[in-house]
Amino acid sequence: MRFRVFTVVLVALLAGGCVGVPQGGRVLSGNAGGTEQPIDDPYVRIIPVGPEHDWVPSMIVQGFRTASSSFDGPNGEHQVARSYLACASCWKPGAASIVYDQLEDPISEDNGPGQATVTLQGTQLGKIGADGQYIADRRAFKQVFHLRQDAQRQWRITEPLPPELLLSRDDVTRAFRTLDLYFFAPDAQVLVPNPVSIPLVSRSWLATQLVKQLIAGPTTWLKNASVRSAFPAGTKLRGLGVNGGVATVDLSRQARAGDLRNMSIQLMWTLRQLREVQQMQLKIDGKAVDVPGVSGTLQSTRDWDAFDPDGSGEPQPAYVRRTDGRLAHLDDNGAQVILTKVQVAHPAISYDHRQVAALNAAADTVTVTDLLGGATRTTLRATAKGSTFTTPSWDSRGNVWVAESTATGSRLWVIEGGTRPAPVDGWALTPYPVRALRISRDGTRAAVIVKVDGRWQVQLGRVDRAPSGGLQAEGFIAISSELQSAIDLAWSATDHLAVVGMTNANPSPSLFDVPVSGAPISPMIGPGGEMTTVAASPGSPLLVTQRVTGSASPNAKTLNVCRLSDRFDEWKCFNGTSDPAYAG
Amino acid sequence: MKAWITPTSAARRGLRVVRRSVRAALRKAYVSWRRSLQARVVTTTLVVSALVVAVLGVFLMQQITTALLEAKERAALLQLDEGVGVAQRQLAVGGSDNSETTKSRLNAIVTTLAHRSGPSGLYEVIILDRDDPGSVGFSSNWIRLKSVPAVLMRQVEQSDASKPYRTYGTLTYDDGSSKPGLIVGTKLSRYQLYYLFPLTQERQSLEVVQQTILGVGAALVLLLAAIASIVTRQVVVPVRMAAQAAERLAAGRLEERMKVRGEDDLARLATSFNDMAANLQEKIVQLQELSQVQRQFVSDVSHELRTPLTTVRMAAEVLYESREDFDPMAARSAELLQSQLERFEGLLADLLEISRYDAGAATLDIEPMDVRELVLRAVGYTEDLAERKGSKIIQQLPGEATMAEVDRRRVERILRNLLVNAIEHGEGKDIIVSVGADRDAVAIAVRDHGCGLRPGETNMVFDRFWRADPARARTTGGTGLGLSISMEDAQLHGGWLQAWGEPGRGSQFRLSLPRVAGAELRGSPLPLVPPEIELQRAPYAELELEADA
Repeated sequence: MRFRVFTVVLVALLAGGCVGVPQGGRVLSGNAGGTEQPIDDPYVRIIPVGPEHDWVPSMIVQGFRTASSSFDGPNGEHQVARSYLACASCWKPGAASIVYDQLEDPISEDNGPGQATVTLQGTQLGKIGADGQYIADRRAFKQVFHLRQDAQRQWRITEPLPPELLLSRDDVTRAFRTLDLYFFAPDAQVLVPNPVSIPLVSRSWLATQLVKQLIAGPTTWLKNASVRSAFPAGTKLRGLGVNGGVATVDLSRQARAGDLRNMSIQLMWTLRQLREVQQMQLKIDGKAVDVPGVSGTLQSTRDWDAFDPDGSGEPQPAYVRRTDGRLAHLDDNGAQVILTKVQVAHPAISYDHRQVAALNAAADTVTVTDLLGGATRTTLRATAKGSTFTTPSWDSRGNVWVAESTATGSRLWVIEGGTRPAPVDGWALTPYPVRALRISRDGTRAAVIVKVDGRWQVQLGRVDRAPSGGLQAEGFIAISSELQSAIDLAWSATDHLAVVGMTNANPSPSLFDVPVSGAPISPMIGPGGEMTTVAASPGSPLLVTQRVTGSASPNAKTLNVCRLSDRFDEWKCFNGTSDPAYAG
Repeated sequence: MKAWITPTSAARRGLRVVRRSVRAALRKAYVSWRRSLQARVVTTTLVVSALVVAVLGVFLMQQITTALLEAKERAALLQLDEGVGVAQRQLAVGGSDNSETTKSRLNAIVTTLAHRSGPSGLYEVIILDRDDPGSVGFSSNWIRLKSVPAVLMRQVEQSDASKPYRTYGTLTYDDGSSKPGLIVGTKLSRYQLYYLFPLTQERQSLEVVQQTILGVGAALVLLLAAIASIVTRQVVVPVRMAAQAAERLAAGRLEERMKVRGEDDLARLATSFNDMAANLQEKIVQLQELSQVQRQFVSDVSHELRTPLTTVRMAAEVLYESREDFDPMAARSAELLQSQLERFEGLLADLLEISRYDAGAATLDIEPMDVRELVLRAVGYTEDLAERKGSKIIQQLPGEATMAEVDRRRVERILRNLLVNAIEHGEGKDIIVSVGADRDAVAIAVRDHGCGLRPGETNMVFDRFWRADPARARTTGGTGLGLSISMEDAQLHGGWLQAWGEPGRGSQFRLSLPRVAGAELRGSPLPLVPPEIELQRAPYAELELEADA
């Protein structure tokens, strides 16, 4: 009887063992969980080592430079690099760095017995400030290291040490991550991104550092744009832990004075850049707090979706100019005319889709027209002789910004509410010609293409009110040293620009994605042909004007607007259209 | 000091309780192991199947682990091969060979390879370059250089180019965590390339498999035990029922039978059991009937003999009266006839008494009596006989009255029988009659110093017609039924009649009776073995006697 039981069990086991891998079945959709962000790219680190016995001064300095490009140690304090120093604890580097393009061989000098100087020099691409702000600034640099022999007759670097780290572009890409801190625009409930470069010491360190920098406020550059932060002065981060997709942010008691809702919005938008954060719990002095507008103490990323600095993120209607000069709506079937009577060039549509600001054919007059009815609201004529206007740009408050530029200088105009034109007094780029100007959606930043030192550069400036009360646009910084020249630009996201420009490697105009943070630019596949203008809007396909050689005669060139398909990297061109525009 | 004594003593007490309960449980288990076939079968099945399942499980685990790791190793070596290809292509590009470009190239290689690892972190990459001051190479993510075992590093360093090596080790990360991993490495011109595969997935899979095997194994073992229990139960339950039936049969319930179900072996057992019981019952009833008939026959014969005997006796008496008128021969015959008739009459009376007992017709006529008085009367009755035999009867009676509820006639008869018996076998020596009493019982012991009893005879003396010396003539002594009748009398009282004897040392008979009729007798106030004998038996008594000497 027992034998029979054994047989049954054995047969059952064997039958179970025969079940193999399925060779067919239903089709199921998969979910990997979490979206891929650039921040999640694999991280590569240099493995630093200390100096070896009897290295000469130049070797020591080179070794120190290499080792200091690694943010090793629990808080990124360059533990290994300190072994090159005579006084390991005297060196207090921050994130402040020189990003170099080329480094010449070190020049070593003997300064008497047991003393030496090593000079490193080369060309820099830019600098990272102590607050993480990157400023492109191509120039020559020089760093001097003093060395002394210690008791074991080994060369070590002594004080004074250069205040900045010396990093190559590779080092920066490898060891830094560019992330946005989010603040509120001065007079609107709109988030303004503040890109900062943070050394990637460890993944958990990154979240803590991010929140610490957020609480500390915007970088010096953006601070002058008087953006607002909801964190009261003196607020400290008591602790931050990320566990199972929930980030627990514990603030000190000073935070009680602040607006919980705004603090949550800032924290959530800053932290959601990290894939591991899907929810957040805000604590003050160790106690979880209820935030108005949220059910429960756990906030989800969806709770503050309405504050997306990119707007709704939905595809926007696109506008183009037809060859007959009329403004048209671009849909899948081609251009559909909206305004039959008005002739427009370089149109700009307001965010509420009610008004259009456009130039005339000679680009010396700006006209603001109602899209419904076609009534002209105001007209702005060029003041200087031979000057032309750039394509107008709307901000979300309904102001039109436009630059008037001659060969030797420029001035900035604002048409407030689309009706009252006024010059902007504090225009920092007065002595330079301007080719393009686009205001960010939040109205705090202006991206321009300006000719400085004989080169068309992409620069980013802030728009705010001067102490005197008047509007000003100043603090312009170059954001990329890699672009050799630029033709047109547009905001593709709140912290990214789509730029038509040229690099050293590629002298014909191509399309680039340029982060305003100063992170490396990346080329995008264009529609081919010679690109002249670009239009972009968050969540909408890129629009590019392409100049193609006409088939009728080789000299006649025609313009086409091409649209990037939103599903594939594929361009579709529409004959007989030009000057594409989205709202903004 | 007290403070720590208390807890230790409490702990000791607790320990003792635990030990006791464990011992009790073990004893219980042992008892059920000894007594229950089912428990034995189930335990054996449990142990054997647990062993088999454990061996199978270990074997299965080993097979799965080996298969999993082999697949991982193969994949790892292929991955390394591909990585070497990628790295060689990237190193081949560009000519100038200063430290800066080398570094940039190595950086690019590790970035590319790390990108191929994907976001799930399939592996980590370390590339080593010994020639660069300030660094030894690049690593991906948070892996530490320490993760590459020194043995592997030495092996790769000394090896030919592009020969892969692999080993298992612990991957350590910057946040201090570590996991087991597979490390493969090879030499790539003057660089060393290592791939580090965390075995977390494999370990998880193995854990799941292990847990499954454990769970299934445990379930299987329990299932087998349950099956064994059910199966043995089918056998054991009828066997138990048979045992119960046999017990009841033994207890005298001859009508007990087993239920017969089906036609299997157990049904056959029940059938044969029932047949046996039926036969047994038939035989026992037959024997009982036979015994009844015999008893009736004895009783009838005795009754029937009485009437002619009375006539014969009257006639014999006449002859005896006038014996002087006969010639000496005839006179002697008349005397002989007279004495043998008296004996015959006594025998007949005893037979009638016995047959009354056998028929269950004997009743007690109870009254409170002073036992001493009964003893005195019995002694008075037998004194003549004792004198004739040259024995002296010594009485050891308590001072106060010793009352008991007894049938005076029967107890007197017992005492008489005992005394006569003692005088007959006393060889003319002293006879001691002693009376003892306690709260519940009274006892009378009769001691003689005659030839005594051989071992085993102490029970036989109460048998009917049993004689100590078979050679002795039946003509002398009693009827041979006296002690039997005395035994029946004592038992009718709920008392004991016991004998002790040793060859050459005499014998003692003790009658113990409850003071209250119907009460159960628990002990006797007098010892069965005479005290002087008991004293000699004890070793220290011997010593004492030696000292006295």
